Amino acid sequence: MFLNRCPKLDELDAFVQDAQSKRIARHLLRCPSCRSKFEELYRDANLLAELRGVASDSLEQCVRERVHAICRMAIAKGNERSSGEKSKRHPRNGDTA
Amino acid sequence: MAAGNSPFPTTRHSVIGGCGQGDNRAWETFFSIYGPIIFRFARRAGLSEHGCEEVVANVAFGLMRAFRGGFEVDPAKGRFRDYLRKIVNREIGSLRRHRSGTANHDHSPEPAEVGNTVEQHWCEIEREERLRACLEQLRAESAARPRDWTAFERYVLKSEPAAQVARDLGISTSRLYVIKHDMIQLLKRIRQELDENLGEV
Repeated sequence: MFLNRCPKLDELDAFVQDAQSKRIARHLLRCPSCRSKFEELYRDANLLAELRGVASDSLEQCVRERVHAICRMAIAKGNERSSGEKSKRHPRNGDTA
Repeated sequence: MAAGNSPFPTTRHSVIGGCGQGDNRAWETFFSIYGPIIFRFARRAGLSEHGCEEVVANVAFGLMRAFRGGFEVDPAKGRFRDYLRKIVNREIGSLRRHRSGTANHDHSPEPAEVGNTVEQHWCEIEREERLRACLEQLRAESAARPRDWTAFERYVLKSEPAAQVARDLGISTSRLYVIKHDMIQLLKRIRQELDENLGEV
């Protein structure tokens, strides 16, 4: 059986998850617009899988905060040194990445 | 990073460019993402937690000093990320050599022994940390719509059943899918913006 109307976003999304509906599958063969939406949802599903991976942190929060504190300290230290050296600084012009 | 505290600069100029101009906000943005990357990379190379913190501190301060001393990023000579990875590797090696005579040294291979997988490790960690930063930014930008964030977090990140989440939040499942779709679009925009600012992984 062919789905006459275009499937709703939630129907397409569900199809990306399990590809159970033969009606939607047939509809996609005939409807470029829905096919394009389906492909986008498929790519999104991959992104979301990655996102779930990073949502559970591999670094403990306290470690993460300590790392941020270390970096903030480096910025402050760099600023102190910079203001102290402003008058006598001689940039090395050839120093590049 | 706390919600509401955006990790990205409001202007769209390059973060690295901002660092070169001594923009503290650019440095904060840079280190909020790369600090944990450096730490995790050092950890994966086998350093102790204390050793990793030392690497982060030395690299962060060294980078600031280099930029303030006139260092310039020249794309013709390579990507800044590759340069950074080299500095981090050098720092890890240096720390190992420094500690090798003490009882508290790290028993782990030199970075060179890890060989070809080094870049792969770096890219993997960088990709994860940048995605994490995007997620934090998404949370911050959703602060004005807490229901949408809750819906996204429960349905997408925690994989709770759609019907349950929709019922708890008093919305239809169709609406839940629309929220999910909108949040993904926002996330992709944030990710694109970050890639423009820092270069793609």
